[in-house]
Amino acid sequence: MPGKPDSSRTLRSAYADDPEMTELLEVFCEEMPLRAAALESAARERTWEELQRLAHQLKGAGAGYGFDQLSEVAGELERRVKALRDDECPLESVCADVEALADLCRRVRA
Amino acid sequence: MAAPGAGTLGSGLSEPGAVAGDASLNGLEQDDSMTIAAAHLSDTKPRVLVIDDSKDVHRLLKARLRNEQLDLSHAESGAAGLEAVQQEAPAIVLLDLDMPGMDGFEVLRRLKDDAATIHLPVIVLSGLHSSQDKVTAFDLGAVDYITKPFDLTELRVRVRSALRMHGLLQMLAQRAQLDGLTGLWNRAYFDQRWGEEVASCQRHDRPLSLAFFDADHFKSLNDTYGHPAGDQVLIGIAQIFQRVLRQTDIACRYGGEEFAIIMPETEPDEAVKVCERVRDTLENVCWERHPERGVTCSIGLCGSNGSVSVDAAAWLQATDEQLYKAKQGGRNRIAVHQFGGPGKPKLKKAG
Ligand SMILES: [Mg+2]
Repeated sequence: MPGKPDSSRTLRSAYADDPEMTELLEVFCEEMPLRAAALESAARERTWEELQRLAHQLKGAGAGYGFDQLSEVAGELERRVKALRDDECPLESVCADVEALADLCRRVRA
Repeated sequence: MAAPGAGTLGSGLSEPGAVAGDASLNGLEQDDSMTIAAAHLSDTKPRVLVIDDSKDVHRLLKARLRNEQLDLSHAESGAAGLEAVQQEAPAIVLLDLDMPGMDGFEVLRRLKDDAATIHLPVIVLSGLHSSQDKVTAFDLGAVDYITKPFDLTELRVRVRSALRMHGLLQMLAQRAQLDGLTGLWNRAYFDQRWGEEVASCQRHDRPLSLAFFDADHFKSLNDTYGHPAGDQVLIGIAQIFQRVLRQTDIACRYGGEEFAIIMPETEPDEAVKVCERVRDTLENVCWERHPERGVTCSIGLCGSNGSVSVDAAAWLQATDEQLYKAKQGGRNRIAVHQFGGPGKPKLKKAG
């Protein structure tokens, strides 16, 4: 279990000061730990299709909510899972991406 | 609110007959705004359908487009999106290209393969670095693209622009169905709509009535006072329709001085009352160009209370026969026939 989030590693949204986004960002960030858990569980269960779907959605959403890095890492994971399913990518690199993405998910703050 | 003029026109067709004309019938000046008045559409907002597999994107667009004059609806997969297009008839579609299952390209292909949706404007939502995707989407018939993550200004401007274009196209399409002089629906529209109404009333066993109005002694009026006066009379009759008929009545210029009124969900008895109000109003108009000469009309009416099968053409002909009877009977009156109804056709005296 990850410990108390380190505030120095907090990821702030580029839209943190946009009043139009305040409410939306709060909801988005609140759900993030759940998504991190879902990513890890899909990797553990090796349900690659589900993992690919989760990554795809984070890729599409992240930057829109002001977290460019989230989109980048999720995009990378999506690509790797796709490759893994085609036997073109080692399991280890997927696991590393899942870890990196889950970590990002736990660090986002409105 | 930043409502682009034409954009607000984008929401479905309204019936010209539903537009209550406010012009004084004594001053029946030709009013350029009339044809436009007929094309005034209801002020419901245009519907924008977003098809994207990500809930987050839906929420984001909802927040980002909150202040736009539009109704947003959502579908979370390609298949659900195609279904929603059928159900909701959106004005434009925002379509994610990258979706699991049926992707955006396939959705676009299917929309463009279907005559009913071939002209539906589709804006694709694509990733920042996928220019080949954009090219493919344009080839498939997309009108525009928006890259994710959304640039706010760009998002709004592109949506507005697509809605404006949609509104103009709607207006043009509707103009092609309107009569230029009177602003009523034209003959082409009548022919199509009449077929639909007959089919629908028979499918659901509902009442339906049709009336033909023909201005009496119109040729002599033209000969005596000139064609501009004749035109004013036609415009005046159209204004009476717009004022006296009900929201649901469909007023069309059938040709020359003849008008056809489709009255859905209306039994002949009720239709007679409606037509009688028009006849009575017209009879009492004082015409600016010829105050000494009034104008009347003869009316043939055929209706059904439901559960009758007459085809559209036969119904039309029967209505024409009633009009002929009204003329023969002395004009300025209604002749009525009820399909499957009690008794013989009856002739209703004026006044
Ligand atoms: Mg997507």
